[in-house]
Amino acid sequence: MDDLSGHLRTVKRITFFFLSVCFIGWALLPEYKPLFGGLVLGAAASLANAFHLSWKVHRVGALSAAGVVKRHNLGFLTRACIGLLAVVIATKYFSFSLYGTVAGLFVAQLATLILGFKAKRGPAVRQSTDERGENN
Amino acid sequence: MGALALVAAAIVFGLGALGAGIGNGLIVGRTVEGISRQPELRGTLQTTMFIGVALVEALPVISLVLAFIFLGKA
Repeated sequence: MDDLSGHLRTVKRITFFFLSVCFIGWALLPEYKPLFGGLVLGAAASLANAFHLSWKVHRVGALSAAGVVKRHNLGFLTRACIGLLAVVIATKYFSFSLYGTVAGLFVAQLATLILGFKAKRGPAVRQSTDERGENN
Repeated sequence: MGALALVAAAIVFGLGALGAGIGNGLIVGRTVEGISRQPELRGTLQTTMFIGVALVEALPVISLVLAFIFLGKA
């Protein structure tokens, strides 16, 4: 399993945890149903965006490693359309909160940011000065 | 009010897309260069690229949604 797959799996776990918290909130606090519904829809769209981005990044990496000279993009338009679709579905069909949906769209990004900081800081903290050769 | 909302939407999305375009270009360009130089580090570089692109693209998604909110209010 490469780094990206492991990272994505952790992002998926965090997003599912967030979704379960939102569903519990939806069940226990019916007066906040539009907010929790919007958060659920936004987080689901955010997870779909994260998977799409990971697929695209994997593809770009494979093409670069193979030395293929070809124009490739990261599919921003598709991800923007997924975000817009979530907003349209939330407001037109379910009457969910728009602000909740927009906040939910950043759940996977936030998880990625926190995990990224953690991953970048982890090895440097664990690695001693002896291993780096500073004391040799 | 309608024309002003249209201008606000255009400015918000235009600036967001401009910033994201520059950021994405730098990230992808450097990552492709890194992978070409050291293909054995592909996994690490891809993860770093994923994190960077995910963060950079949060901005235009916010701006796109804001632009549509402005248009809806017009």
